[in-house]
Amino acid sequence: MHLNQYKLISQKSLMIFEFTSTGHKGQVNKIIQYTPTELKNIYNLGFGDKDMKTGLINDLSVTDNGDSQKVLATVAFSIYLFTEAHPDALVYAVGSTKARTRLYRIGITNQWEAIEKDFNVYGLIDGNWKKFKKAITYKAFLVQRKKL
Amino acid sequence: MTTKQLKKYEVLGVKISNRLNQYADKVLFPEKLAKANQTLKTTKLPKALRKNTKKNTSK
Repeated sequence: MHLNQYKLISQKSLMIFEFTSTGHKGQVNKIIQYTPTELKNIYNLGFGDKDMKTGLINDLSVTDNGDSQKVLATVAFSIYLFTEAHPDALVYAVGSTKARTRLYRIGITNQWEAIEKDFNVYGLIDGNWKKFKKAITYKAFLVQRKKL
Repeated sequence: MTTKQLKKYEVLGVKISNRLNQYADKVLFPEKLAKANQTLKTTKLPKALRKNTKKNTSK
């Protein structure tokens, strides 16, 4: 995928990423963290704003910086980097709100042709994980890097 | 990480820094992680994914 995205800072393990969103409300630091869940090889994707003064992290804040597509593309790029460094990992992704989960679905749908070349994507619907299909509302996503 | 890898990431627009190591042992999104664990506990993974995702015993 070659989308317009922000430059990332990460550490060597490529499990934590930081970038700065720049828009009409100014600059906002964003943090992405991949955290192991209770199931082996499944990592939760956490994503939120970092308060530049207090350092506190909030995944419910509404930045409204006019750059949501660029932010989403940056988070998606971090999944590429994380799964390249951790090829057995599956990424569990859900938005902090229903609207954000919907935004993830739209993002996946819009880039589906590129995504499906590299990833198996599953969506959670009615308590079951199903292979991702466009135009279906899912509660969460599981993303697995395809082994080439 | 080798110098070659560092350069590769630099080309991709990724700067590798020790600064983020301050978060390495912290769960920055604990509520979201708890919800993820709950969902994973109560749903059955697709067969293709079950093999490599047994319950983590290292925690």
